[in-house]
Amino acid sequence: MAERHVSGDRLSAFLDDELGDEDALRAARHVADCEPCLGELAALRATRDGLRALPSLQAPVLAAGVQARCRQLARVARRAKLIVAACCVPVLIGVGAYVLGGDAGEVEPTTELFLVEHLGRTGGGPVPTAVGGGER
Amino acid sequence: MSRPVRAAALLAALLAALFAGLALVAVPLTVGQVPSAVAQPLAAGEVAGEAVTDPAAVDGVLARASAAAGALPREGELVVVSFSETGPSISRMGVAFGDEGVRILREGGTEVGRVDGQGFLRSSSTLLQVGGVEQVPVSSERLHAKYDVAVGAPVPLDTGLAVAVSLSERATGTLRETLYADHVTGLIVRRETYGRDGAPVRTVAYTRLEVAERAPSMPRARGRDVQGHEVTAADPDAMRQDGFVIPTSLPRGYELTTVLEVPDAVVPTLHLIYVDGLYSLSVFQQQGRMRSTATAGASELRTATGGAVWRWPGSEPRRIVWSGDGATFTALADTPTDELLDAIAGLPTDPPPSILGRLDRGWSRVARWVSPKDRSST
Repeated sequence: MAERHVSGDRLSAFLDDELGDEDALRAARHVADCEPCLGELAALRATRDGLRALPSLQAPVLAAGVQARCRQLARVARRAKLIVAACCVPVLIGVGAYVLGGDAGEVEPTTELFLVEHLGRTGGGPVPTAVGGGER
Repeated sequence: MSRPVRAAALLAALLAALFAGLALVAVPLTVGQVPSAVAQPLAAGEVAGEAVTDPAAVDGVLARASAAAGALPREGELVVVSFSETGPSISRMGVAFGDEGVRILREGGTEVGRVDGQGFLRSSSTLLQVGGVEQVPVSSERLHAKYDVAVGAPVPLDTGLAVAVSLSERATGTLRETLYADHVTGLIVRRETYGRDGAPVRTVAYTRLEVAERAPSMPRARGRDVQGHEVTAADPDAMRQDGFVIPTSLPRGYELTTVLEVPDAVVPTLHLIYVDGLYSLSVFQQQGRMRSTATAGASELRTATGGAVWRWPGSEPRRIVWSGDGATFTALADTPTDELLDAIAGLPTDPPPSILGRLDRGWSRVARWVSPKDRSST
């Protein structure tokens, strides 16, 4: 009894040598013994050969317009990239300067030390010393 | 009601209420034995009457006050009422003067003072000690150079007579300070400070003051972590070569008298003291720009030159901080704020903080890093 027929997709793959060795061998054996599959394979091959034999067609006017448009778009894209880059550079530099211009690692007045120094040298005289308000 | 009148009325009400409360617990005082507290606030216009403007007479009162301050052991309670844009701020503190020095115990536990040439600040967590602290001498020549001084007739205060000494700035004719010297001992028991517009900006008054053989001991605030610093005299010329700014005088007649350094400070730190005969202005200069978070809670003010400075409302002594030419400045003084702002205009001040300023600072830093010459100098 013959095996099940080979599907059109597999015949097409067989024709294009896209099946694995084992599948290709199985398909070849089946097609050799199966008239319908052999006929379908022949039809597929004829169709493929026919398509390959067709002359190549060109649409010269359309291609030129599209190509010109594509070139124009490419130029615009390049220009846009340059503009974006030109804008990004000063922005990045500005952000960098802003960050670098921050206060990290800078001086904190040593309030208590200064208060003791000031009162120790200027307080205790004839005029009563004013001490008050917030701690800071 | 105008601002000065309203402020004077508020001051009177505050002090009257304060003294009325203290009268219930105060030890009875006797004129001739104890220089006493003051009770009723006196308007500036009431001082005069039979005013004496003879400099010798004025010097006599002030010299007697200075001698009494240095010779009489005493202990008392001081009230400081400070006016600012956020309203009056009242502080009370115990004060003791004796052989060992001066100690001021603030309500709330913080204690500051000077004992045997060593200043200290003691709080619940810290004991800060500063060595090499000696008092700056007072000069009557400077006082008379800037102020017109008048001595009024003795005025009755609640517990005794006191002589009112008014000090007006000669250049403007503005009354800046009224001192009340106890008629018996000569000690100054009250001072009133006025702003340029005539409004009172601060009153300091003893509500209790007792003279004794020895100053009674005061309860000491407890401190745990001890920090020690030593302050030494510095050569101004050498300090200038190290990048410090040291003007010999500041606007409004403040003359440089003392230059000190704190050798063990985290950053190079200088202490400059300027005096005008009445007020002492301390300017602390730290190399390096001030951290922006250091002004939290402070109000931004402007100097006459447009520089940005910050002051904590109600702080006494008045404290102003700012940055200028890559340095951080802190000014401490008991001058009115308007005069303090004029005086510090003689020091570098940066413009108010802005985005452009920050960008410029960032560029400058990059330039310093890139330039080998600048890099070697930083």
